[in-house]
Amino acid sequence: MVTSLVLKSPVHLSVDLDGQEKTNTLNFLNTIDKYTILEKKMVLIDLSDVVIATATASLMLFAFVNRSQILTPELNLIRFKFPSRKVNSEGYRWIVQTGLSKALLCNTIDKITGLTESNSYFQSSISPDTHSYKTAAMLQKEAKMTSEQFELLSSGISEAMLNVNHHAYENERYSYQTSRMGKRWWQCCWFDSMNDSTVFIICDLGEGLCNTYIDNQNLFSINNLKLIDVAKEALAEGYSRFKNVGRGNGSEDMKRPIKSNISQYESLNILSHRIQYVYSYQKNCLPSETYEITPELFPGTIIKWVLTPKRES
Amino acid sequence: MKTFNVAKEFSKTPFGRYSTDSPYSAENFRDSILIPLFSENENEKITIDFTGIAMGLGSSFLEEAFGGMVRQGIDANIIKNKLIIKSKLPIYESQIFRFIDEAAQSYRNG
Repeated sequence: MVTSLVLKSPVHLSVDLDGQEKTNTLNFLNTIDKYTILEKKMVLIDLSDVVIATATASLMLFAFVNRSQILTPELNLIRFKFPSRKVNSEGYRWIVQTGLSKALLCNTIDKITGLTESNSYFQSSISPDTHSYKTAAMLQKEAKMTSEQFELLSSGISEAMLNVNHHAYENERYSYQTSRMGKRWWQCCWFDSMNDSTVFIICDLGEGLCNTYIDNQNLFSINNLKLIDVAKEALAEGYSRFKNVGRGNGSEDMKRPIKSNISQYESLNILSHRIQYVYSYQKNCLPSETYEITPELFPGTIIKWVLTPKRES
Repeated sequence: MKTFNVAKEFSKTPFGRYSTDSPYSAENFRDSILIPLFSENENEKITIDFTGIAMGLGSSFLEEAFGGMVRQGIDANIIKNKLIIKSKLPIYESQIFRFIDEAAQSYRNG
């Protein structure tokens, strides 16, 4: 009988705020990579005691696990222990009822495709042209936005997917990975009826935003202030240059609903490499934005976009 | 005046920057529709009508289609004098004209 190495999850899976929970979560994710991809060991991921798993952290777990499953030929490389409804009802809600457990079990491309067909919150794809419409339409079913609001929602989603396709995996060191799994992203989205908001989170495990923007420079050699300047330039509205035309417009598309006066609340949170960018807007207030350096290195880019449309009274 | 309805005559779902992104990409729209329209109708206003499209137009589509015309050698002032944009969302028009100006600036700077 083959024994698996047990990887015990932190009780709180979260990457949303700096602190011990974020550190523990990122360490846990890196441990999965270390044992599965580097050491090719069979593991049992124990999520049975998880009490909270935020959507962002859950999506990252899905991405890390799914990449390992695709890159390694062993189908049963990763097994899981999920929270039981009787013993840990909170954990069951976060891990099982959200559909995360089902997504984690998708260890083939066919099964991943099935997540889209079943309108799961958690999905993964490499085809922006077809997947963006499916995602926007899935959200629209419940959000029931106006056609203008839907246009802006769908263009923000499609630009985020295209950005992964055009920029995230361009470095040669991803060539083996992309040959096996394509220029893949992972996403989690739903309509939050309590807050009347669409939530769209997308993550890739490629080059960070700043890395793709300044080619061939070692970002570790750049000091924090310079790194923030690079991020500002990469995300600046309308910033474009022929070499890298339109870079930064992905985030611009997500800010269009505010400029078009069709949203009453919007937030955009981007975590990439060591940069955290937060943009938020509330009706009748000016939008605000902040850039921060985070203590931990985030592998790739994760974007969370929350949009509350204006409704006719 | 020439009018081109994108949804009816090109695609209801124009998408992406490069022809590798989709059959209905900005590159294909620019090369097969926009450049011939602007080259063959020297003295006419040209209305690009986005009414009826099923999905929003991303910035990368608008930039490559209209900014890309400038990079393909069509004078930015000629484009701006002839071009009329029709859509439910005014933001498309403002972005398109900005992308044309930015492409002209980049083109001038080499």
